[in-house]
Amino acid sequence: MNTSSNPRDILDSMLVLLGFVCEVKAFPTNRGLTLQVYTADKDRLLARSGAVVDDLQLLVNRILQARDKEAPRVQVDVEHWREMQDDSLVQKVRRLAESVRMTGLPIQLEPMNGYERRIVHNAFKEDPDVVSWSPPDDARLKRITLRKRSDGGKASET
Amino acid sequence: MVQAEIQEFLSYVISQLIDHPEEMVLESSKGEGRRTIYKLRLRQSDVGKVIGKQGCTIAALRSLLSVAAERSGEKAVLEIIEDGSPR
Repeated sequence: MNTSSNPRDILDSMLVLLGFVCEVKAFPTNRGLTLQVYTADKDRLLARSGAVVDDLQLLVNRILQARDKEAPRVQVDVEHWREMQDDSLVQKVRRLAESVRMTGLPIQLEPMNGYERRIVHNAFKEDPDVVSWSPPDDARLKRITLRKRSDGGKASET
Repeated sequence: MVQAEIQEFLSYVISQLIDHPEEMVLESSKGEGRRTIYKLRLRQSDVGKVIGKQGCTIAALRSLLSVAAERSGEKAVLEIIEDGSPR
């Protein structure tokens, strides 16, 4: 079995062994390397609301980090599905942030995993009025709070 | 066929997560119904690497194992054997 350290080869090998006939293409993006999977078996890969893709992404990153602790994270996507999900998450939280901006009252978002939280924190990094905050514990799912930015307010990217 | 592919998948991923792949032993046996049990033995210092932070790594492995097994209407279970007992 191929033990290449190339992220594309690692994902391709995993998918083949899991019984998927697919093609994996690597694209550099502003968030690092994205591995796009193209397959006729898209439904099986996107089953469980994308949990299968999340599991593949986690394992590819664990393998890369086992070889090099500083290895940049890669993102696994299936025919741009995740890209669309991420965009719709950002649009949704931006709509909620409008209410925080207008009323000054904080809003707590639904529980999110680390990947989703990173997307939300990035979306508010440069926002002049609204800041995102998540509790600094080790829980896998956490609820982000959006609140009006006060002087010196900083986002907690956990 | 699926059983061999799943075993190869587990072997491929786990051997790249641990420090001592040469000590890894992965065996499979048929359980009740259409269930296959994959038993993994590792050097103790490698167990945490397969389990991962808050069990995330082993949870991902078990989830993908199920996806692969479901293809042929089967169920698959991954157990880490420590001191003779499954985990």
